[in-house]
Amino acid sequence: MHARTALIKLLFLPLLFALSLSAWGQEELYFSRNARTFETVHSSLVMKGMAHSCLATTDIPDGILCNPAFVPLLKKPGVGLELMMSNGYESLEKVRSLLNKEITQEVVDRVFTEGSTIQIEGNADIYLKTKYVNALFSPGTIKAFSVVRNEADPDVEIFAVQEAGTTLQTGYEVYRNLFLGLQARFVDRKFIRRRFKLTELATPQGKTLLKPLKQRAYYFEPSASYVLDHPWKPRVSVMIVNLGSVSEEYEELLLPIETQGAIGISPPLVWGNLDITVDYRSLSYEETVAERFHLGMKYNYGVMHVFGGFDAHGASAGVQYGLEDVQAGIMYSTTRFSTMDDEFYTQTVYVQIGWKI
Amino acid sequence: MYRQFSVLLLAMLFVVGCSKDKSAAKNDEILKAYRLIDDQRTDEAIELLESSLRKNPNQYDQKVVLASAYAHKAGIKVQKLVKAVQLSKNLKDLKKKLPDQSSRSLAALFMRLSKALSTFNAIPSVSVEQSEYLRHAIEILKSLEDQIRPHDAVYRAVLNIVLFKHIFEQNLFGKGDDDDLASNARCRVDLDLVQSTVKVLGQIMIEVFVDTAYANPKNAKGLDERIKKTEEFVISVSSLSESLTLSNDLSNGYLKSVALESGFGKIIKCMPELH
Repeated sequence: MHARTALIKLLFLPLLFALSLSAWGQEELYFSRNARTFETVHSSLVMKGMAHSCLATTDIPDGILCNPAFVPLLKKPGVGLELMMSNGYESLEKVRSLLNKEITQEVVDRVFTEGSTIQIEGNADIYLKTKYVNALFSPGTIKAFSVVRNEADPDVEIFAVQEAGTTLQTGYEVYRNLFLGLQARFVDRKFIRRRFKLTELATPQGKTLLKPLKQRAYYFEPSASYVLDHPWKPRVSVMIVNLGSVSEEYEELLLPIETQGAIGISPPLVWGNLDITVDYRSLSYEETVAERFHLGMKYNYGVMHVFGGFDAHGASAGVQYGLEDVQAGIMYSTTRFSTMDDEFYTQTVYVQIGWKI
Repeated sequence: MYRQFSVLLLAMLFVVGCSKDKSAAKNDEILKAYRLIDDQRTDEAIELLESSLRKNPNQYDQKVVLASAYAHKAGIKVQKLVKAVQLSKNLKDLKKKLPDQSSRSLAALFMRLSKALSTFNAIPSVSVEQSEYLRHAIEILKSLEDQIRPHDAVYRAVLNIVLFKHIFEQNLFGKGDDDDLASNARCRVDLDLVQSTVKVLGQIMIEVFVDTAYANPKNAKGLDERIKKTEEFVISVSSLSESLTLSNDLSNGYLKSVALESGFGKIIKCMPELH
């Protein structure tokens, strides 16, 4: 009883701390943005729904694990294909035109004058999961966020990224309940990240404003996890990310090496399985310390997964079904509870469909 | 256990309810002003910025946003300018495509005139009341003097072009006040109006040339020549106006018919009937 209470306090206190100190430290043009799309974070629907609190999660139904140390615990191997899209998909073509340097007057007009905000994410993933090795191939991911303020003299902020990449994971139980893992990530990306006035496009300096920057990155990310012997399976995980090299460093996209941590529990239930996790990790690499805490929950009953998450960026909840070969999921996220603003908050719906064998 | 859980949950809700509003960005004056302008609450945006500038007059960004707020009151929205920019680029492309010899042909001239008129028509029109706000916006940008950034000089040039069109349409181009201008002997071409308007328009054009050259140094080549040509045009119109002041009724009738047929009915003013 006392152990259970202590564990619950352990999970909730970091979240309380995060919420009490959350603050927007920067002068952004947007008052609210999508709570679950981050330009340098590649994640499946379930991971997003859990507010990216997945380092202490031993099973991700729609993709490979967040933490490679748990690879040996995988119960059911498989191969799958997942396609995910958020609302705002009508802007997909506009964003692709920008990133592929097809910058015509028409594209600029459509992106920066028709409507003030664009938010979109689209992913295609192919994955393989076994007890020894996990692999993920993402042939194409697009994420974009653009906001225009002041229609009389437009001020624009845009972050658009197109990526392709491969991730390989392996793990090993080196000692009873102690797992070590290694993740290798190869990423090819091009991106635009700017804040500018629209009139700058008419100056010589403005000619390079919308020029996409290219980067190739290789990361080798170790992790470790320890699972306690207890019916609730309390566990602690740690992982070092962004350890590797990039072809070119840009000030617009600095990804520092970071040590991430997580704790999780799986209270035993009569029906189904429940995971509750709290992660400490950066998603935009611009958060304060308090904003790096994320609370996630995943309940699994048969072929159904229900998940939810809460952090300083917002709240999210979703459901995912795996019926024989077909998987489908939907997730809703909102920033309303984090911004406490009745006028400016963002609501996003993600839809995912996949095939699994 | 349940009680402790409830207390923790209540504490969490309390903290969420009282958490620092993620509005440090919104509290920033410029972002606040943007928000007000986009919400069509421009008067509040102007009040906010003028109050800030009273406390600290040397804030560059606040001045530029204040100018844009006045421009917004004048009805300036970027969506309205997009078509004009597109057409002006088409006009430039046409000029490049036509080789020198054909550019002198009648067909080529008509094409360029047609494109030029389309571009002119695409520039948004403003009312007399709106033009006052527009002038105020331009004056605020002029107060930045040498500190002005290149893209803000572009913005000032854009506002000047809109003002140019307004003055041109208000004073020169368009149907006159009276239906019977041609035959009414009390109606004469107002040469003073023509002279003063051409001077003002010439001054605005020079300011536009200077701003575009400042924003894009490639355009600086030939800037002196463009300014000189504009000044020469203004001087020649002034001289012509002075000489035409001495014209007789026959010449005045001829001038009136030329003005009416060219669409410049507004330069004809009628003297009031004496009772």
